[in-house]
Amino acid sequence: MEWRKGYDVAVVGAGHAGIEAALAAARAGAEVVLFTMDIDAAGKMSCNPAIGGVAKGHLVREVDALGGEMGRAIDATGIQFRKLNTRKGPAVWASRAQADRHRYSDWMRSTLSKAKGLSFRQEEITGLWVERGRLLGLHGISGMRYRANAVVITTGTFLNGRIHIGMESMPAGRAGDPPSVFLASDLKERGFPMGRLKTGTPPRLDTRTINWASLTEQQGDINPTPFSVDNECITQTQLPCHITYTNAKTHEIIMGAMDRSPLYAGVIEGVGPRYCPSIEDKVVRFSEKERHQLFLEPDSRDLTETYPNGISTSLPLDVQQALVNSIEGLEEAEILRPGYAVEYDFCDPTALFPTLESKHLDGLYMAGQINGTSGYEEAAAQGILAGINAALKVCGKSQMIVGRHEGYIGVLIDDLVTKGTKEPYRMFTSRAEHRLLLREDNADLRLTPFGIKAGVITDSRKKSFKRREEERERLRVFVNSRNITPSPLLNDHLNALGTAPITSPVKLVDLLRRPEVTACDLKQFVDNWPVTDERSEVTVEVETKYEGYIRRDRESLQKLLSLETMAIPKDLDYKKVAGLTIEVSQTLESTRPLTLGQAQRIPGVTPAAAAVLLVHLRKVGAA
Amino acid sequence: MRALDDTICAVATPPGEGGIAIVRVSGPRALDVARGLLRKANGSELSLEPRYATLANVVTPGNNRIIDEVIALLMVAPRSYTREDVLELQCHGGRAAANAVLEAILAMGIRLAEPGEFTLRAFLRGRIDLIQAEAVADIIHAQTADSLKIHEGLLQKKLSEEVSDWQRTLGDTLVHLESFLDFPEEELELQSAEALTTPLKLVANKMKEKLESYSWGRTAREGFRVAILGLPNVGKSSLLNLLAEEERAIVSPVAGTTRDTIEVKINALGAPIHLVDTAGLRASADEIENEGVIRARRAASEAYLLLMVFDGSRDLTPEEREEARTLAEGGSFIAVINKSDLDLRPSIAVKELLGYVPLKISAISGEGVEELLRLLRERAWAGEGPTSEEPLTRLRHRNQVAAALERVEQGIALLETTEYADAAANELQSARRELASLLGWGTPEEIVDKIFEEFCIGK
Ligand SMILES: Cc1cc2nc3c(=O)[nH]c(=O)nc-3n(C[C@H](O)[C@H](O)[C@H](O)COP(=O)(O)OP(=O)(O)OC[C@H]3O[C@@H](n4cnc5c(N)ncnc54)[C@H](O)[C@@H]3O)c2cc1C
Ligand SMILES: Nc1nc2c(ncn2[C@@H]2O[C@H](COP(=O)(O)OP(=O)(O)OP(=O)(O)O)[C@@H](O)[C@H]2O)c(=O)[nH]1
Ligand SMILES: [Mg+2]
Repeated sequence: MEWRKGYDVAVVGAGHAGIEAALAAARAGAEVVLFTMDIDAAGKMSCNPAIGGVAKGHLVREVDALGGEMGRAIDATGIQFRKLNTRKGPAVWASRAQADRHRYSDWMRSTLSKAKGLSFRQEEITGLWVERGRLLGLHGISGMRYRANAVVITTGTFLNGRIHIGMESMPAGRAGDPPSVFLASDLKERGFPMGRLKTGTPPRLDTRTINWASLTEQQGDINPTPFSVDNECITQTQLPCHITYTNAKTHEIIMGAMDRSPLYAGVIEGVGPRYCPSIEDKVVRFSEKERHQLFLEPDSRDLTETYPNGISTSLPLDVQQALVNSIEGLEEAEILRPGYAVEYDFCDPTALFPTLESKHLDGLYMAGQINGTSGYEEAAAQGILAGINAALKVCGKSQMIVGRHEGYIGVLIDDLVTKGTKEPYRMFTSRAEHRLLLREDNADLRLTPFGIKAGVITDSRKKSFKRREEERERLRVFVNSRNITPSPLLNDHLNALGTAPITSPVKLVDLLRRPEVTACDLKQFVDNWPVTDERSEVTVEVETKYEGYIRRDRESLQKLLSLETMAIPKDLDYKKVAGLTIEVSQTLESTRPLTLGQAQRIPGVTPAAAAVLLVHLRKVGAA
Repeated sequence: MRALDDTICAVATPPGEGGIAIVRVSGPRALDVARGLLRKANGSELSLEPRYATLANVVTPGNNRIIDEVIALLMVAPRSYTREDVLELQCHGGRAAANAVLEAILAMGIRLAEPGEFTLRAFLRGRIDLIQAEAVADIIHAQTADSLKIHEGLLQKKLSEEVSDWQRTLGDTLVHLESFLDFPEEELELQSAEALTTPLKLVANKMKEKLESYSWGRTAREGFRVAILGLPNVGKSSLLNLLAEEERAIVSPVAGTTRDTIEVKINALGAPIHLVDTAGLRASADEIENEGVIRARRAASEAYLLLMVFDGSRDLTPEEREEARTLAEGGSFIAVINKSDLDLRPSIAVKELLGYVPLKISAISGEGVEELLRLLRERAWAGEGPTSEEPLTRLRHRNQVAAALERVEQGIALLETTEYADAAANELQSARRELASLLGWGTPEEIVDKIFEEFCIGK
C-alpha cells in the first residue's frame, strides 16, 4: 500500500549523518521524511560521548558553515571543552568537547521536531522501491510504500550488524538496537558492492564506584571558542575528566584471555580500524609499551555513567571486569554496560560520485558509516552534503562538490569515492594536501559561500557571515597600515613574551609576524582596534604568520587546479582512449571519475596513464 | 598517441654483422605468433614453456617453408620487460634472417614497433621508472664511454634508488611529525629538534652534492656546447671542418659565406663537444646575412663556451675590437688566432684586448689544433674532469632535485620549534612530491599507513 503523501527527499536513519541530511534537505526547501528504527535513539552517540578532535573538529566547523546542526548541539550540551594541539601550528589546532550524551540527542530530537518541511517517522525500511530501473521510493516493514524523488541512506553500523562479547554474539545494530537485515539483503540483491567492517566500544563504568581522589584531573579550557559561528561564547560550567593507565597486571589479564577473544579466536571477520584499536589489539601489537593511557570521561551531567576512553574491548564480561579492576582508581569500579565489538556491512563508496549519489541508481545517495567511515563528525559531514545534493537534485539544480583544497569534507568524500576503504575511515589532517589552507578558524569563510549557493543558509546567518568577512578585512587593513609606537609598557610586554623590544614605531603587522606575538597581545596597546570577534583575530594572525607558506600553497594549487577541474565526459569510452592499458581503462571504467584530478588519484592509475588521458581530453575538448 | 594494447614487433639487436639477431614481439598476440610460426624440426606444432629456451623452426604459415632456425623464449605477462606477453626469437646473425622472420610476423597483422615503444610500455606499466626510461634513450644515443657508463648506471636504478632513499628518510620523519600532529591524545613527544633534523640535514647534503655533479653530467650526456664566433672570413667554418674531420660547412674566400648555424658533435680527447659554426658578425645590407648574424648571437647565448676566432693575417678592425670586448664580457670564451701558416701580424692588438696572447692555430695546416682540443676538454670538464660516478645528466633531474632541496631546507628551519610543525610537514611533503615526480610516482597515503605500523595509537 502506498502512503498517502509523497516526498521530495526520504532519509533512512536518524544517526549523525541522517539528521544532518534531513535538516539540510529541509532547509533547502525540500519536503522531507526521516525514517528511523527508534525515534528515542535519534542522534545517539553509540560510542565516545565527545565531538571534535584533530581533523574532526575541522569537520564540525565545516558542517556548521553549511548551516548544519552538530556545532550548535555540542555548544549547547558540552560538558567539557578543550582545544588540542595548541603548540603545534595553526593548521592542526583543533576543538574537542565532551558531550552530555542524553542532552545531545534530546537537542537533536527537538531540532528535528521543530524543523519546517520535515516529518519524522519510526519505521524500519526494508528495501528500495525501484521500478523499471527507476528509484521511486522506499518499502517499510509496516507494509507501506513511500514515494520519494530522492533517497539518502544513512544506516550506520546497522546493516547485518552483529555484536560480540567474548565468544557470545548476537544480531544487533549496536547494543540495545536490532540490526537492519532486510535492507542489507535488498541492497545486496540489487548488486551494490558490499564489504564487512568492525568497530568496538569500551565497557561503561558506574561513576560512584571509581576512586577519583587518586587520579589526575584534567580541566577544560577557561574560555573556549564555540564550534558554531552562531554562538559567541560557552557559558555553562564544565566538568573535569580524569587520567589513569593500564599496567602490567592489566596486560597479563588480557593476554591470559586471548583464547576467548572473538577478534583473536577468528570469530570476527570484519576489518577493524588500526587507529582505534581495542585494548587487546594494543597490548598485542605494542607489546613493548608498559602502559596505555585512559581518560575517564563523564557521560552526562545528571547520571552516574563514566566512559573509560582507551579500553575498547570485546573480551568476555568477566575478563572486562577483571581488567578494569586492575587499573589504578578503578579497583572497585563496577561495569554498567559491557564493552563489545560490532561487525556490519558497508557499501563500497567507490560506487558513488563525489556528490554521494550512486553511480548505479539515479537519485539514491548514501552517507555516514554505511560508506565505510567511522565517527560522528565524518558521518555528519557526508550527511549534510548528501542531504543538500538530494534536495538540489529534486529541484533540478546543479550538485555541490567540495574540492580537496576547499574543505576536509572534500578530502573525506574524494578519498572515499576515489580510493574506497579497507578499514573504517577516519579523518586525519595528514590526509589533506592543502592543510595550511583548511583551518578551523576559516571553515566559515571557506564553506558558507557553498551553503549560500545551495540555498541552505538563513538570512541572519548570511548577514553575520558578511559581517565576519568584513571584520577580517578590516583587521587585515588595520594591521597592515597602522603603526605601533614603543612604550615602556609595550616593551615590557614584548620582553615578557621573549621577543625583542622595539625602539621606533613599526607596522603592527611586523610585530604580528613574530612567532611569539598574538593579535591579543597587541590590541591592548593600540586605539580603535577594529574588531570584537576573537575568531577574526585568529584568522588574520595566522594568515600573517604563515603568509609565505599560504601563498606558496595557493600557487602550487593554481597549477594543479586546471587539471583538477578538467571535466571528464560522463559517457567517455575508456576503451577508445588510445594509449591506456587494458587494466587502467577497466579501472577508470568502473570508477568513472568526474575530473582528471579524481582520475589521477585512483589507485592503479599511473601518472603516465593520467597524461594519456589528459592528451585525449584536450583533443576531445578542442574538437 | 599510439595504441598501447596492441601487439608490436621489431628487431631488437643493432644492425650489422652479429652472431645472432633478436626479434621481439610484445602484446596480447605474442602467443598467437608463437603458435602460428614456430614448428618442431619434424614439422609438428610445438608449445613453449615460459622462460625456457626452445629450439624451433620459423615457417611460413600455409606452405610450412622454413625461414630460419631460432631459439625461442616466451615470457608471460606480467613477468617480462613490458609486463605483456613477450616472445623473443634469436635468429641467425646478420640482417637477412631476422628481417625474413620479421616479415612473417608482420604478415600476421602485427604492427612494427616505433622507436622506444617497448620501453614506453615498460614505463606505462610501472615496470621501470621515468629515470630508467630516460636512461634507455640516453644509452641509445650515448656518444662517449662516460655517457654510456653513467646511463647504464641510471638504468640499473642507481639514481632511482638514491632518490628512493631520500624519500624514505623524509617519509620516516613525516611519520613522526604526522603522528605528533594527528594524535594529540597519544602522549607522543616529538623527538628533539636535533634528532628530527639530523637525518634531514644528511639528505640535504647529499642533494647538494648531486646538484654539483650536474655540470659534468650534463656535459657527459648532451655534449659541451661551444659556439664559434668571429668576423667574416676569419676561418670559422674551416676550423669546424677540421675539428669535425669532415667537410660539414661550406668554406670560401667570400666574406659572409655561412648563414645558418651548423652543428656537429665531436669528441675532444674524450670530452663530448657540441660545436656550432655561425655566420660572421658584421652589419650587412643583405637581409639573409643579417638573419644569420641574429642566429649567431642566439647560438652564442645558448652556448656554455664561445670560441672566438681572429684572422692573424690582418690587423684587427675597430668592429672586431668592439665585438671581442662585448663577447668577452658576456661569459666564458677561448680566443684563437687563425691562419698561423700565413705571415702573422704582431698579435699585440689582441693581447692588449684580452690580456694574454691567444693560441695560434691554422685551420689549413692543423697547427695548434691538439692544444685547442685540450683546452676544450678542460673547459668542458670545468678543469676537474668527472666529479661523480653517478652525476645528474638532465635538466629535469636537476630542477626536481633543486626544488626538493629547497623544501627540505625550509623544513629543517621550521623544525627548530614545534610551533610550526604543520608548515614543516608541508615542506617535507612537497619535497617528497618533487622527488616522486622525478621518478614518476608516489602518494601520501603511504605515510598515513606507516604511522600505524610504528606507533601505538589509542582511541
Ligand atoms: C560499538 C560501536 C563502536 C564505535 N566506535 C567508534 C570509535 O571508536 N570511533 C569513532 O569515531 N566512531 C565509533 N563508532 C561510530 C560512530 O558511532 C558512528 O560512526 C556514527 O554514529 C555513524 O553515524 P551514522 O549516522 O552513519 O550512523 P548511526 O549513528 O549508526 O545511525 C544509524 C541510524 O540508522 C537507523 N537505521 C538503521 N537501519 C535502518 C532501517 N532499515 N530503517 C530505518 N532506520 C534505520 C538507526 O536507527 C540509526 O538511527 C562506533 C559505533 C559503535 C556502534
Ligand atoms: N691560409 C689559411 N687560410 C685559411 C685558414 N682558415 C681559413 N682560411 C681561408 O679563409 C677563407 C674563409 O674561410 P671560412 O672558413 O669560410 O671563413 P668563415 O669565418 O667561416 O667565413 P664566413 O662564413 O664568411 O663568416 C677561406 O678561403 C679559407 O680557405 C688558415 O688557417 N690558413
Ligand atoms: Mg663560414
